[in-house]
Amino acid sequence: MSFHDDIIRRWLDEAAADAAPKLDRESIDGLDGASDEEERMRDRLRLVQGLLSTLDLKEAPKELDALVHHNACEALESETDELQELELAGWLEGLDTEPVLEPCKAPEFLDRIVEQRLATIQGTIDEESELQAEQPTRFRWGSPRRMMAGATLALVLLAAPLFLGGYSGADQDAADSPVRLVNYDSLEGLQRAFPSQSQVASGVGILGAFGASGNDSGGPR
Amino acid sequence: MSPLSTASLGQWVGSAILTLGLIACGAGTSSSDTIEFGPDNGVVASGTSALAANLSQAPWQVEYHGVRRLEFLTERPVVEYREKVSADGRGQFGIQVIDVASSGLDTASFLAEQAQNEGFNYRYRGFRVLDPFLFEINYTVQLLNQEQVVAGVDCTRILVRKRLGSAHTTPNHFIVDMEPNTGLVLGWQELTPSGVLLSKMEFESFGFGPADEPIPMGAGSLEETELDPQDLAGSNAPFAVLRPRLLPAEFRLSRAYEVRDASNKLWIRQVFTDGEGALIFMHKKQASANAGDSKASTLGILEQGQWTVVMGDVNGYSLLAVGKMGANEIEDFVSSCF
Repeated sequence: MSFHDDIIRRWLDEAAADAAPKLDRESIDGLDGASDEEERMRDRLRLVQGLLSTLDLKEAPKELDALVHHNACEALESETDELQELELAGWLEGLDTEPVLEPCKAPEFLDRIVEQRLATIQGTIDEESELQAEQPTRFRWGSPRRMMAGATLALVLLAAPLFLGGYSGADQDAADSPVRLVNYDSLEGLQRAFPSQSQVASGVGILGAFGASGNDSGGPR
Repeated sequence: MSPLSTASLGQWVGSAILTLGLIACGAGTSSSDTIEFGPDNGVVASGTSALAANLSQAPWQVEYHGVRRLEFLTERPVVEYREKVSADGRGQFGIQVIDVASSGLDTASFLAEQAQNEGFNYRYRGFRVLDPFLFEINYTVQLLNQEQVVAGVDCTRILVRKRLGSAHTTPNHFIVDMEPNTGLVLGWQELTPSGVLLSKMEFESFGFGPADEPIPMGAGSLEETELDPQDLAGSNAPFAVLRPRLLPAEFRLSRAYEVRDASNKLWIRQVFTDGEGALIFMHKKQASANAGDSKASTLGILEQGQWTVVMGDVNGYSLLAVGKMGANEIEDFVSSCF
């Protein structure tokens, strides 16, 4: 299982677990006294549900803009289908003259790629949903609202390998492993734990916002 | 309608317009440091492209010198100090703190820290246009109809706001006083969406050209080579360059560098921006990373004020990320490399 698959599973699982009771308790159209946060969460869920059911990127949250654009730029370099390449190039050209990065302007075939990937993911999740329901949640990655938005992003993100015809990111020679998150109260503690990173960070002076001693006395940008 | 009622109506409208104008221009802030922004008061600037380009280039292409006062009100203790700054217009710059007004600060260590972080302070602290194209896309610039004189220089006051839409929360605003011919920023104030002042900078004295008493302009301590951000595969890195795919809203890769550390190990430094904000990401391949390496991956996180730094060892890579954003956003950003 890739690192991303692991993340998306947690997001979907926790988003569903956190959002469902609230939606069962109150109608989706809202009740008097519902907080702004709950209302925003419902709005977000509607968007996510809309995306999942119709796969119409036009309805996707704005967070998708950057990702769709980013993927399209990369796809333009690797896409072998001439028609798709022309479509992508046209879309990107349009952005130059009308720089509104909206998924609704993306070529339609992106919807189909997302659909294929979602179907695969959904099938796997259905198979394992019973097992997941029995396991307590051990990890929190953020608020339900954020997780739902994140889930949407990650779903489209997972389309990238299909889109690109092969993932060319990190080396695959090192095995993916679970990531442990550690919060630090002081920069000194963090620097002690990661001396190599601290040394180079000081060298390029990028910890200035934390009152760190750097070694960047100026120079060109 | 009687003349009396007409006059009253006119007075009321005039008063309302004046009030809106004052609010839009940030007047009436002396007691509470709070500014309320009316919708679309003032004139949206035309020719934003040239403006964005000037704001971006001026710190590097204009030769100037001066003394400026900085205040960071969210830090504890509040940080307030004055510094001399100069730039040669050819990419070199120097900053030197000359006095610290804050009480409760360890002045000696503060001065030492500032001296060692000149580069960060010049490049990323406060309002700064890092990428004019993205700035134009992601920010609105509104001319505030208020002449402003800063350090004896007539400035144009603008209100810079991030376009709403994709962000979960409403971002902060900047009120910026710029010298209109060069685009050099002589003052800025960062405010929360509700108008609470967070930090500010203002020149107390300013002049074009070299300073009478030049500030030493240093060089970066590590060897850096700029890369084409569109062709990271063409770098000399003996490993696959990581490409974060889940960027903060509206952020794009703007600049990239190869950096050799003190052990001559090659790192890749990538600077992502939405035009104004910066997210800096550095990574290298760990020498010991072998196939099947099952060493647990760890990310250490420190959130301080508006900034977050993440350092970690993940899947055979050493990495760090620094940005003026929340821990969640940077976690997602880093995770999306793998």
